[in-house]
Amino acid sequence: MRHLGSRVAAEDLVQQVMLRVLMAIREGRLENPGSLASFVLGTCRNVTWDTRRAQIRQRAIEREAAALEDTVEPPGVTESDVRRLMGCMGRLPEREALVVRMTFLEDREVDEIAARLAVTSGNLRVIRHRALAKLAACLEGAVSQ
Amino acid sequence: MTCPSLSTAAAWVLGELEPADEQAFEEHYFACAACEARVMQIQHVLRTLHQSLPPVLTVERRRALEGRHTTIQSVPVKPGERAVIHLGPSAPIGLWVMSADLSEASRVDFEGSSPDGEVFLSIADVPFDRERGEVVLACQEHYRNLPGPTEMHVQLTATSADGTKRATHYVLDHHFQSR
Repeated sequence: MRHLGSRVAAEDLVQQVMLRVLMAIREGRLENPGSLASFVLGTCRNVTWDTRRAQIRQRAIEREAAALEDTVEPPGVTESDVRRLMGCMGRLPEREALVVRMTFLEDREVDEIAARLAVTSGNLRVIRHRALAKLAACLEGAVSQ
Repeated sequence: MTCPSLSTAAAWVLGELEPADEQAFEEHYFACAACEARVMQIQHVLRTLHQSLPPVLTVERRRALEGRHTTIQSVPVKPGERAVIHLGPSAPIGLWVMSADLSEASRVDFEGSSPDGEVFLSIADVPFDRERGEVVLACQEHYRNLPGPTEMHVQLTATSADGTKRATHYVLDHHFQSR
């Protein structure tokens, strides 16, 4: 459960492991009955990783879908959120606000912004991550990080 | 393991972590409610940014906006001229399309001041349409809540590659119909 994060996922895992073990027994792949415990444990590990890989892939797909979402208005954003965010933008250091504006409001490429600010594209990404974190903290009403 | 920072969560959401850092983040993330909340915070910022209309529009944003809303007023303004946009619930967005000779410009800076000369909106390095010689400023209905005058004196400063600067001026006014 620690690895999967929920009881339901853990129960699913037990079922899948049982199924795989039964199939292995039926197909004669478990030659030594004494090694059943380690076989079950190994299967648990494999199924857990398969589950998590699927979750990771799902998250990646969701991220891409969100990025592509161009015309559909996502739920949960109000006019007040937009106004508060603009207020938070005003509190960012000038360079961070510029990076956020050029990246997310003007859709400029990383290389173009990096050249404008005379930083490497790696540094630009770090500035962007930091700025997003500050905006998130600001929107939550917390003091900037 | 302590929770990764909000910056790391932002990097993960953008898909910009190195593979090893990404794996470490995900190892922790899937079993940590606090980190899930952090990721949701970042996603909320991104959604809000996506919903926000910047004051000065890129060519692409302008096209997308005009394609989605048929009620957008586009008001052309020539250098030295004054233009008015009337906004209200049925016309929530207006565009001032300021024309200027930008054929040599490598950068354009925007400065908006009140009639008495106080600068209240200064935006460096704004998007512009070099081919059409246009800078497009969006005016939105919810600006009615902002303090300050409705009349804005705008100066666009175009800088060319050799450093030559050329300024053009406009007076933009917006009126709000009652709700």
